[in-house]
Amino acid sequence: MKTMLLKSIEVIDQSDNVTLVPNLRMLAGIGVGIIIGVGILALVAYSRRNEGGLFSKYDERQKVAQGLAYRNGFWTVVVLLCGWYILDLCDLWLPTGRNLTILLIMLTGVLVYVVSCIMMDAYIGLNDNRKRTAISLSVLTVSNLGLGFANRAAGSSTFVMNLLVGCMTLVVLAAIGIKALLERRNGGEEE
Amino acid sequence: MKNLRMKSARAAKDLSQQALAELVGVSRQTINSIEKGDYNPTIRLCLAICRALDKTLDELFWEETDQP
Repeated sequence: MKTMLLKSIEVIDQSDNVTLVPNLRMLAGIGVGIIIGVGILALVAYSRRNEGGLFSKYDERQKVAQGLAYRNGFWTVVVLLCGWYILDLCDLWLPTGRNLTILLIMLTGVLVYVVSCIMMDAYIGLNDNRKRTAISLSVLTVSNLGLGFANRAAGSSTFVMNLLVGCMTLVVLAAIGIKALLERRNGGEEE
Repeated sequence: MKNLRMKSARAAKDLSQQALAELVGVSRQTINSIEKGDYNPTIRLCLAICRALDKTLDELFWEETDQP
């Protein structure tokens, strides 16, 4: 069994000199990240135990709006993937490289979904607090941007991921702010 | 189509949109959307709103037409 396992992670393709040895440092980093993420979720769930738990609750109109937002995000991803495929077919390479392009497409789809939800008042749930959401997003933005710049200074190649996620959360924050301003300008409610 | 009957029923009870939303278990924006005619609520939500405002479904949500 041990021999089989060792063989499976040390296969070398002699014709192309391609090694299939996994990047163990990256795997370990992802593992630590998952553990920390689960820990943060547990903390959030505990702090929200009197407010309906970890998950936000939405009313029927918000769920319908989220469905439309999912559609917007889905088609954004499809169009971007098609665009990337066409560029690939024409041998027009993007300067971003494969991994970064995939990440950019994913984050763009998520961003379109989230901003659509915000504009349709379907992002903040019934048991959510807008101020607390804004604070959480601010912390995420600052920590991701900070980590990104720190990783770049340390010469790490993964700094781009942190910077992209930080920019995404910054755009979400901006969308929440713009929506709040628009609501205030329209007098809130009662016409 | 705007639901002015619901708006006036809410005003008669001296309830804000937020207060009615909390009574009924939805967001304020949903109440606003219903009153502006931007969203058609389900029967369940209609009934909840009627109960909160002490009105019948006909009084708040029936669309009157010109047909005899």
